[in-house]
Amino acid sequence: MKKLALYLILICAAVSFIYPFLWMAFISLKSVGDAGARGLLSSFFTLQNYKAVFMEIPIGRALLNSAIVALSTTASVIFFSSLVGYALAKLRFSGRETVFMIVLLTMMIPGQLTLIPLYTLIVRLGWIDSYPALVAPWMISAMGILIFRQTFISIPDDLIEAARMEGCGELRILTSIFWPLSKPAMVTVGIITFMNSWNEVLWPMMVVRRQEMMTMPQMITTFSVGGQSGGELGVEMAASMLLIIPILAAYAFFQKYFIDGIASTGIKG
Amino acid sequence: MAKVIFEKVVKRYPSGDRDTVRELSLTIDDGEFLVLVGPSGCGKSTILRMLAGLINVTAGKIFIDGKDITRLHPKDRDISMVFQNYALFPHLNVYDNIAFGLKMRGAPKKEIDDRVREASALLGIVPLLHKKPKELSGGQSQRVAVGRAIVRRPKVFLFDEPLSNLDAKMRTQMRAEISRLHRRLKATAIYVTHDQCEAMTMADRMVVLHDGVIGQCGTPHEIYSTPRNTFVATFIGSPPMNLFAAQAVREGAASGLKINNFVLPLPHLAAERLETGRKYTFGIRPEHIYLADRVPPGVNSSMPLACEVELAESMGNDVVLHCNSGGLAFQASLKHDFPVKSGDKINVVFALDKSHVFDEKGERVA
Ligand SMILES: Nc1ncnc2c1ncn2[C@@H]1O[C@H](COP(=O)(O)OP(=O)(O)OP(=O)(O)O)[C@@H](O)[C@H]1O
Ligand SMILES: [Mg+2]
Repeated sequence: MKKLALYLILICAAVSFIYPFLWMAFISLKSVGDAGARGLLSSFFTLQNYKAVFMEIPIGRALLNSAIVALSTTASVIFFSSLVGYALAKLRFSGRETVFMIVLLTMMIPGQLTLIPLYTLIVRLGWIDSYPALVAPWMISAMGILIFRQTFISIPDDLIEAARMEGCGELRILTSIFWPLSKPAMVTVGIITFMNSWNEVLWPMMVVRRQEMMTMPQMITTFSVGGQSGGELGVEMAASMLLIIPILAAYAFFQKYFIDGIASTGIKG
Repeated sequence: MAKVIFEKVVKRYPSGDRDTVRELSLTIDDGEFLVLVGPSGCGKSTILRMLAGLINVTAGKIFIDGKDITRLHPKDRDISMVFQNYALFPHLNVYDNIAFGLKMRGAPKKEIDDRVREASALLGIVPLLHKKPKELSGGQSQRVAVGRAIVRRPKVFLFDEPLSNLDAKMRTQMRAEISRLHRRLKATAIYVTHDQCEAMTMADRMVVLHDGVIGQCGTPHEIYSTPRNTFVATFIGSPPMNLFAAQAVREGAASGLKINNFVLPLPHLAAERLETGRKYTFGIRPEHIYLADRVPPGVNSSMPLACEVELAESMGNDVVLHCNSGGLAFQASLKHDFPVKSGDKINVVFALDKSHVFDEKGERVA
């Protein structure tokens, strides 16, 4: 009986999380006339809205831009954060704890605070409307450093020493020993970074003006809010669906590691 | 292949207030199996790790084959090491663990494969090649660790208490196997242990270490029969050597050592070196004490000493007696061919030509 009640509560919770998503998915598949209806189901579904999105805005190009930006940001965050995490966890140098404290401190500064100085910097560098403007400021993350440091600290020093004896330099130790031993952490950092980068709207809005450099969320926001969609709910939802699908795919693919990672590091984005 | 020289090597840890290793000078000959032995914390691992390059040297130099390697990165020293807890890479299977060093050095695939198979055949671990380290027992893991060490054919092998995580039977077996392997590979090896039994059986030469200095360096037999000081004397041998406070006395022409309330006449050799009236330490190993009526022929024995057996510990073929003679406590190790019980009164003699005399500082006199 108790179990039944528990399941009921869980189902309610799950539905309340999932409903908006389902609603979006169904609307995006309904024809124009049908979109206003309350219920989820409709007599017939169509891909017409998706066609409209592809017709009206260069969504393909935006998808490519987003992919380039999100993937290079993710790769860079994994590489540089694990590099710093390794140094903070395993190398002995004076000031190590101070550096770590500074890294933690940067996590407490709200991101919005740094936007203006960053923007000024990008303008000075002449990087407006370019990939470096979208990637460079986010190439390393304090959260990534923290997760890698915590994971690496539990890897025994003996392995490092054995690897050194067997002919590894520090970089090789990181790539051939530490990376394979911390897959969950890498996937966690990877997914969180990818998601954040993929969903970012504000920053691209600031540094990108030309349409062919726009990222997906930027393009879709501009499209929906800026009136290009003609206020058609179905089309807007279709565009939003296109934004979500890659993330869902990535999550489904790495789910096992992601949950391991969150469970073992106790950190989530 | 390789001769290793330590030249006045000093190590002080940044956090330490004194030198962990003090002016160590030691030469290890090509192909020699040297065992470093000493109590916990005496600096054995420190010495090994300085040679490996895992920690730096505070002062002094280390040479391999005449080349100064003091400041080289471990990977450039051509040394391999077997760790106490194996330190196998958990994400690689046995084959890749063994092949790891060769891969890092960019050896051709064919050669790697040949060498891995040769090494694993030598160690009898061919059936394990595809297994992950966590699927192996302690003994198997240790074999893989040894395999990883030998496959590169380095100049020097280092072992840091490689057998201490194994059970007694496995330890004896691996001990023999490592010795056999060493004879076959003829490589220079330095082996750290705090188990004197391992040290005695495996070593070509052993170094007894005490607080970061060499207590004595020599063959196991030398160290057993002529320990240079009281530390070495009591560290090597089980049960440990009995030490008695003594004073040199002269009775007419003969000199002797007064221990407690009796005087032990000494062989002439020793007598000449003793200064009447000074304090000495007299040492006798438990196995050089006999029952007065069962002295083997040819033993130069002392006068019988009456004592009481406080405890008799049977070890199978030996029995260790904890004896007390008027407040003088000592242990005797006897062949187990007669009945002695706790509380018995017996007469024992010391084998004088096997006895040791140390001066007040603990240094060997005779
Ligand atoms: N990283 C370190 N920092 C400071 N002191 C250290 C460090 N490593 C070892 N020591 C100290 O140096 C001394 C020698 O240590 P070492 O590990 O060489 O001993 P050991 O002879 O190998 O002992 P064991 O038989 O217990 O392994 C010890 O007193 C130890 O506390
Ligand atoms: Mg040690």
